[in-house]
Amino acid sequence: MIPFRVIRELNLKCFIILLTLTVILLLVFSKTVYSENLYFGTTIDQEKESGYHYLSKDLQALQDDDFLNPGIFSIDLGRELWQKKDGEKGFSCASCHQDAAESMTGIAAGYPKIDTNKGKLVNLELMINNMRAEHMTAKPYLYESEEMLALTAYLTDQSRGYPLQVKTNGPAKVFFEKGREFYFQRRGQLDLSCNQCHDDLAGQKLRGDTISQGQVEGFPIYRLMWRSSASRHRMFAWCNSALRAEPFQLGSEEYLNLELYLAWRGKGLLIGAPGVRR
Amino acid sequence: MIKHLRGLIFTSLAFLLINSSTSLSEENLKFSLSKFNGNPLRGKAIVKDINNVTCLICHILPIPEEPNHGKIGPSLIGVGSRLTKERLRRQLIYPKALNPKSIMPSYFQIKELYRVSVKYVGKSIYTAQQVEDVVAYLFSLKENQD
Repeated sequence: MIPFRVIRELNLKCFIILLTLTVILLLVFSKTVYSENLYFGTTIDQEKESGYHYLSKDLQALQDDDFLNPGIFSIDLGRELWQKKDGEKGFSCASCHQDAAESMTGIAAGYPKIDTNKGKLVNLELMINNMRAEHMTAKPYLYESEEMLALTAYLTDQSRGYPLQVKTNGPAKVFFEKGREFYFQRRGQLDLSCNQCHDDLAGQKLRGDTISQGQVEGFPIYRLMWRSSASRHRMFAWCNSALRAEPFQLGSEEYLNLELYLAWRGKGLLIGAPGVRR
Repeated sequence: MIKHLRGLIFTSLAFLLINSSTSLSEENLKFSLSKFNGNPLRGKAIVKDINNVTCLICHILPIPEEPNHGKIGPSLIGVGSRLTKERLRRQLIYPKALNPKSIMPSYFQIKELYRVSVKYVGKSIYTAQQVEDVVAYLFSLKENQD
């Protein structure tokens, strides 16, 4: 017979060993989670949430209803523009790409990406203008023009439900790193960086407004405050101005880099354009 | 003569502070930044001004007539009982002196900022007098008063 005291001691030892093991396991586990989210600021335990998540019920309903969502008109115009012949050669997008519902599915989810011909980072807007210049000899659309917003909305709509999935390695790496630097750089008279609000304080209230994670999968959005559709870059510029920082040009390298970083940051979020935002 | 001298001291002190925001000694903070003492009533008006960067964006204040006080920073109700005037002044001038990671803007800083928009280059969020007015207002907020 083993005395009771020995059993108790054994039990204690077992308990201590188990506890140590659990702690080690937890540490290893949290380490892997951490390294996956290495660049996601301090919100390593926070799930990715679309801006939709932070909307009021009313606005969510507005976005969900394809008959009421004001962003849908833009898609309709985009569908027309896809077919419209333009430029000296008399081509339309459809002349080469045919039915966007087939040729363009999932494409928008991969932008911004490297334009292999030029070795430069391009987003959907810049790619459209490249195509117009090179293959249609048509004039470029202005960045925030109704046409550009419409065509990007139409193309993004062909990727609805596809997860954001951008490449950040190879030639894209240098742009990605710059974008990340931008995101963590304090700027403006208010001396704030993007991550301080959109990583650390998402979900909290700035006066009446809820701070979102600043995800980009709902763009082009329809912004009620502006009563118009808006691109990702317009939103960047607005956010910068709100910090009393000098914004960059829409379509600038700086915003392209930031867009790549944000698209990577939102990896896996499903394209939900046109989002409705305050 | 003495009046002029006083003005000169105030101006140079303000100049010194605005230019060396990182070296805030307790000694400097004992003095008002401006020629005139802070006025709590004016301070309250500044804090309520939605066109400027207002405390209400992030803090709760005993101003029930204004809706939607922010909740990011600590509540400022009764802050005058908890913090000294010097401490409040320091917090407004350069909050990063105590917490380098602070998200609170520095209300009296014009240097060492990145890409300030043209409209605001060389300007601090508050003037010296506005800092003093807000300090006076915040210091007037005592516990069990409201």
